[in-house]
Amino acid sequence: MKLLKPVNFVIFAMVALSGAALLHTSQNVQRVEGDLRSLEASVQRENEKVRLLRAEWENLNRPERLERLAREFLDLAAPAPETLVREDFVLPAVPEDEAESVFMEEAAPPPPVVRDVAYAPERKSARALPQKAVPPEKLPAAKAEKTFGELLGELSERRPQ
Amino acid sequence: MIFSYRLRRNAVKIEGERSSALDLARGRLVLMGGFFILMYIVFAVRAFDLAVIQGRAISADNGATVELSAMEGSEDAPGTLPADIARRGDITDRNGALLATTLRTASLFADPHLISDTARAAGGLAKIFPDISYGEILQKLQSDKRFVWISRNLSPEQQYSVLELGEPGLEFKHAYQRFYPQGALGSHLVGYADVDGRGLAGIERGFNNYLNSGETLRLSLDMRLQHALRREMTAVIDEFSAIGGAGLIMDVTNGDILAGVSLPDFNPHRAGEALETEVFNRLTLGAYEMGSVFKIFSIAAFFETHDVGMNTTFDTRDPIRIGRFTIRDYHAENRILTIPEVFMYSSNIGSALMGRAVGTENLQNFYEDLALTTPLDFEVREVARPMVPSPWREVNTLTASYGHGVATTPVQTISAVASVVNGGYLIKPRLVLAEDEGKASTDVRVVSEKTSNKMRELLRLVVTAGTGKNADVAGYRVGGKTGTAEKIINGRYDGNKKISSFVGVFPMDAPRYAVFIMIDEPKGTKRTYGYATGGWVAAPAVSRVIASMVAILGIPPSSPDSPENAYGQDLKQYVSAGKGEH
Repeated sequence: MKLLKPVNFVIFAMVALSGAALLHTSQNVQRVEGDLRSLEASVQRENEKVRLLRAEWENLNRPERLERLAREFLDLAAPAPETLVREDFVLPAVPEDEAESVFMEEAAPPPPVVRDVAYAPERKSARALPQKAVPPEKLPAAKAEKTFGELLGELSERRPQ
Repeated sequence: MIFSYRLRRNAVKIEGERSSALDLARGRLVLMGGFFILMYIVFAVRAFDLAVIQGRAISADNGATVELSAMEGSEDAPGTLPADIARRGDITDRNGALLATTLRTASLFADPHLISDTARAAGGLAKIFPDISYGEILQKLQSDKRFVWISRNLSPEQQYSVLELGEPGLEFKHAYQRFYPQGALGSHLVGYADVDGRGLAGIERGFNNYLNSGETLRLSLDMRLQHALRREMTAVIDEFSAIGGAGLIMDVTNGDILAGVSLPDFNPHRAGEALETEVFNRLTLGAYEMGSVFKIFSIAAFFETHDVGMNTTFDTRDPIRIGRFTIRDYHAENRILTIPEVFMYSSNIGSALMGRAVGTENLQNFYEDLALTTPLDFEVREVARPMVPSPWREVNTLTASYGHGVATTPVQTISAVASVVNGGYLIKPRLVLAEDEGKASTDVRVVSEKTSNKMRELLRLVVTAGTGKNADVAGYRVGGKTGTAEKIINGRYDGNKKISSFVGVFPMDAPRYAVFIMIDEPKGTKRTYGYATGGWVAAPAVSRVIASMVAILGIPPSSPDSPENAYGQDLKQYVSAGKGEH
């Protein structure tokens, strides 16, 4: 009986073995492809989120808004031209022997805080700041301000296909 | 095999022909058996693989997979655009601030048939969308349709909350939407695109194909300056109850437009609903008679055609009568004026006399060289055709000398001013940031260096001693020219409806920036003694814009006793102590 030769057993075993190996490899490939797809999708998703967050960041950083917030909460305004340092301005030179004492001096009073010197077109709002610290959330919100979500909601609408 | 082996040993030995037949049958039997055993093994392995190996992998990232598929939606491939369409490119300002971008948004719809618990779903949705009431959602969810919109363009937080409800009947539909983070700021120049990503106005239209190929476009605009300009213009329009305005900031060395505001403006997300007056781009689509601002050009033309000194005089005592026209002075001095006086007191008669000396053909050619009377060549394609008299008679030459009878756009006006003051090189306005930022946009000379210098001194004089005093910013050597033109209403000039403008340039000894503000129909106030001229309306606004600009750009002031601070003061010797101006 030719079929029952030992060599046939060996061949049979090798076929079975390589079949199993093939199966194993194809499984691996499928799994890795699946992983790749899901990674690509998640990269894509993260990119979308980054875009969205960047858009929101830019929206929140509108100069108009920053200016208003700085005035309302920090009592700051843009510097007026008179307060800018002139182009010929040089720091006064300090003699060698005094140099150390100038930088070490600690008794010097802090410079006075000058309020409202800068150009502020709407000084009223700066003055109207309550003296007692009021948590920002209790201050009246500007009415024109739209949240990012609301802005998204107002994007032109695409009709259902 | 063992079985067949035993079979063989115990079997009666059969010889001959039959024996070979039996062998054949046996062989086949073994082959068949082997085949089936092999198949069983394959099936078993496959079943093991499906049930155990892959089953474990799926359950491992189960949560993520469900969320993923729900977030991605079913109608298109996960998170990708079709391969042949690139996402429309972004538009940024010169500092990289985002002006337009394309976002992937999700809209929520429901299939009421698949909703398991209508009341619970409606309750959850009402919490997520405060602007829709519980009853409204309930009504939608119990309808017989298979598709009802709940809400469009959800924020990511809302999307996540909806997924958390775990309601199978709620699904997302995804779309790409153009988003303008700066809102109305710069909306006329940036323009807007429709839902299919077609640019309909502004840069969005002018560079539609380029943007659709996915490229990012960087503009010369600076949104900080844009805001400062818009803020000051809004304040002026409010104060003088004007109907609108146009403003520009330009780098006179290369033609870069740093800011361009047309008011009233509009929300680019709702461009379709904006009023026609809001969408109208005054910067490029509005052709206006600029009034005395044009004296910059007529006097430059006079210097180009006549090599004379500043002490040349013009008799402005009597109005000029030509045909049925009479040319009068608004700030009448009623005496013989030198050229600096004509310019600083903005004498119409004086400029008309200069225009007459220049000659019709020369003046026409000069205006054309400055690109004032030809259609604007610009990156924003919505442009007006300037209006010039046809036929052009002598009287038109006289009126064109002080900016009447010729209408042009604000962009062309500021470009021509830039060309005159920058040393004489023609400026082509540009909105897209060039690779070589420092280079002048053209090297075509339109006026001589000498004329350019004279005009700089004259412009500075207007601000130190003439009609533009309100435009000065100490230490920045501002120069400029006021303009006040009456509007034509029903074919006649209406003295009560004006266009008041001011073009400022600084620093005048080495011009870098030009600021132009034009206010439409300002009404005089108590503070201005009822005046609504360029010097009262636009000049202070230009001054405030320059004050903001120097802080934003960090330009240091010159000291009061520095030589450049005294720039142009020599001209005062040609100015006699007149009765002054308003």
